[in-house]
Amino acid sequence: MSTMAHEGNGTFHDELHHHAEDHHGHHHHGNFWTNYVFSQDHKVIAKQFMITGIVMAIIGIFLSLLFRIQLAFPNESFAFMHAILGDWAPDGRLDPNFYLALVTMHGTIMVFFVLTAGLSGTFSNFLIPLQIGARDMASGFINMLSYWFFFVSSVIMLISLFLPTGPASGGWTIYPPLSALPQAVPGSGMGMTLWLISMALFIASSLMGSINYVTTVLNLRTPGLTLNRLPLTIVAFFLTAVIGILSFPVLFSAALLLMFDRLLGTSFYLSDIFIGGELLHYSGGSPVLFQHLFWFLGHPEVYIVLLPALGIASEVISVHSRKPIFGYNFMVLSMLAIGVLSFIVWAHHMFVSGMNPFLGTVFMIFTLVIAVPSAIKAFNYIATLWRGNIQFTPPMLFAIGLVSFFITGGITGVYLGNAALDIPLHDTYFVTAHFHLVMGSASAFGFFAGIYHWFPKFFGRRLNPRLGYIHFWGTFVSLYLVFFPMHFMGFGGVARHYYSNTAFTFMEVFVDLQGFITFAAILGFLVQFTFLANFFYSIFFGKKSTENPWKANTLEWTTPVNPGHGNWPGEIPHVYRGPYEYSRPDVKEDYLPQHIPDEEVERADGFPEHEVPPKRESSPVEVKEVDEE
Amino acid sequence: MSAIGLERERSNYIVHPQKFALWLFILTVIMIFGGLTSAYIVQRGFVDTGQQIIFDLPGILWMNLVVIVFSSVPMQYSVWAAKNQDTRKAMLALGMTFVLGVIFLIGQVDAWGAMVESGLPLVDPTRKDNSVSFFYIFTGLHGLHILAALIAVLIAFVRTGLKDFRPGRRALTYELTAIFWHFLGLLWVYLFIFLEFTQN
Repeated sequence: MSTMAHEGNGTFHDELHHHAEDHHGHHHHGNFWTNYVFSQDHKVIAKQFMITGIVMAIIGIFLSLLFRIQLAFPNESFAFMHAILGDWAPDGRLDPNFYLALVTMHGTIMVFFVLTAGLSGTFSNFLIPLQIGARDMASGFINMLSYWFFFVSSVIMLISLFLPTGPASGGWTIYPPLSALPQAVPGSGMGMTLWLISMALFIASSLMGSINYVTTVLNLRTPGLTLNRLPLTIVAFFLTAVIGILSFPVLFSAALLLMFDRLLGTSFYLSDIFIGGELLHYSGGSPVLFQHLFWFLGHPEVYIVLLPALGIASEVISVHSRKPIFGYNFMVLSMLAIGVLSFIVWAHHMFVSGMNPFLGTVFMIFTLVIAVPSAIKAFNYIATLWRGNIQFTPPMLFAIGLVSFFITGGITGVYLGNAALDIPLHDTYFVTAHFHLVMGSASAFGFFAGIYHWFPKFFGRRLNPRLGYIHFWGTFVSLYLVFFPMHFMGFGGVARHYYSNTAFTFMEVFVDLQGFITFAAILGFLVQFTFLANFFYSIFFGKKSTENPWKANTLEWTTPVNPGHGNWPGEIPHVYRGPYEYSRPDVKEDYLPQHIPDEEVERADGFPEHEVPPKRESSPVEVKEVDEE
Repeated sequence: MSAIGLERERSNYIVHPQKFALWLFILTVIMIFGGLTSAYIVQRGFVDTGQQIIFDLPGILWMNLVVIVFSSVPMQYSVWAAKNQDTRKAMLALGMTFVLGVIFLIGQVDAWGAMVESGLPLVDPTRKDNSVSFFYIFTGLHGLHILAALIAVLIAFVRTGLKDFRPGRRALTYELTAIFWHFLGLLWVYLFIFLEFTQN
């Protein structure tokens, strides 16, 4: 976007200087690097996030398959394990230290790199300017930086996988003392340092993005788009960005103190530690301090992952059932409530850390309360579907699947939110089942729903629906087959992060179930290739799309099929109504786009044309001289 | 002015987007220091009263407090001068701000030296209280932000000298730099009061 490129460093898109005129018929040059690599166009950046997110997802799922094989066949060795992992699987059996590394990296990559950057980075970047009627984000430069910081952070994280001592191994929550002491586990050496550096860059990237999104949504809306006419996707992305701004810095401070403990020998998190028979010098710190700081981000983080998916679901369900979203105001208020409450529930991850039970009760109450707005949203999705003219397209199926995972996973959250129940369930597979369903699967389905729904906008072509249906059913079934049995394992007391379940008899009974789960997981992984094939093939050879294939109301569908820089070749459309005017009885079509003025709406038979209110004579302003009476 | 048929103004900002984004960035800085402040308070709570370390801040920090608060004056003056097209005075004022900022940083490092000399280094295995370590964290992190602000001041200075501003951008650049500078001064006031007076 050379108009913006030569606006210079760090400049914001100044709407006061209309760029609309510049786009008529001009051919803007930039070179390959400024157009496709260091692009400041939000659509290109969104695709960069999308592709990087998909690549990281493949890697993250692949890592999970490696440790799932170990869990399913704990005493067996496989030649291919040795072939893939070399010294980390001597004799074809996974090294226990590397097992911990695998679960850590799987969690880190999936939560941060796939579901935070891949979801928010893709859809917030792509949709915010298009749906609010802006030419681009408030700052294309910062947006570009935000992607490249993310890219560098991903590279560093992936490099850590190949270190001789292995990547970080303390779980994705990297609790000290395990993560603070290189002697504790090999992954806590250079692997942990690289993890921290990668995450510092990731946090910077995320904050840059969030600041951009908030600024853009508040400042660059097209005339007529009042805050109560915002599509729910935008409301969701906006609140997600606000939550991110408030919570990611605290993770940064947690990581900073951990870095100091590791590299400079401070004792923020460490005290009275024996290792290898030797007393270390640390004194005065507490691991619980890290947990507080970490989870202060950690809990809002799961809502940062979830809210965009919920926003996407609102949009997709409404469009594909040809019905207004049920309870728009409550949807907004619920998201707001979830956002606010998410900051005061963090210690429900710490019920068994030894904290005062009374404090536990406080956090428990807020945790149970947060179930209410979540349930309101689930009810509203169902109410939207009820008696709708449901089009069972692939995006719709993924959105409905999201609702299913959200409800199933959400219910088990109520179990875990009760402090007393959490005591036997904490750190068991019950927790694993809970968050993989409510956050992992729901958000992944939000990602897929978004891709299938907006693919025509991203690439001007259509995805093959048949492959889409196979992808949906295969993924939906396999995710339930993988995670539902884990609830029972959790009840049975099987612990998380254990290399094998054969050491304890009460866990051994579940080894066959682990095998079943692994099998289902492998099937699920294989099904993803239908998506990948569909996705990459359709980008280049898919059936060409029309401008508004889903007959939706929002502004992004008013751009040309392949929107160029500045999104609209002429004037940006103005908005005259909310985005959910579907199946209105007085309108001929079953949708009423936001940008059509009332006078131009085609009425259904029997309904009068829109009446233009009679022009009032404006009374001339009386100017009285001050001295006159 | 006739209200009929009036389209909403194209520009609906109350605050310029770049300024707004700066305030959001300031919010993130507040959160990071807020997290660290809370961490300080929590870890203090873990320490037995007998083993708590209560220390006076090195004297030079009182002087630094004056330096950084005062430095907001030339900074704001430079904004006024830039708006009044007086680039010479603006650059002079920026230069003063820069010098005061450097003096502040030197003072901070000096304070670190004074702490080490009085037996309060960053790492001390005999201590059970991390308050001293937190002191270094707070001053170090704040100092890094001052360094970033100094770079911003320098950039504004150089660009003024080279007349490298698009029309109307100069005043904004000065304003943004000033907002960040004033914020860091206020942040130091907060940290100073927190570290000096709330140690019990």
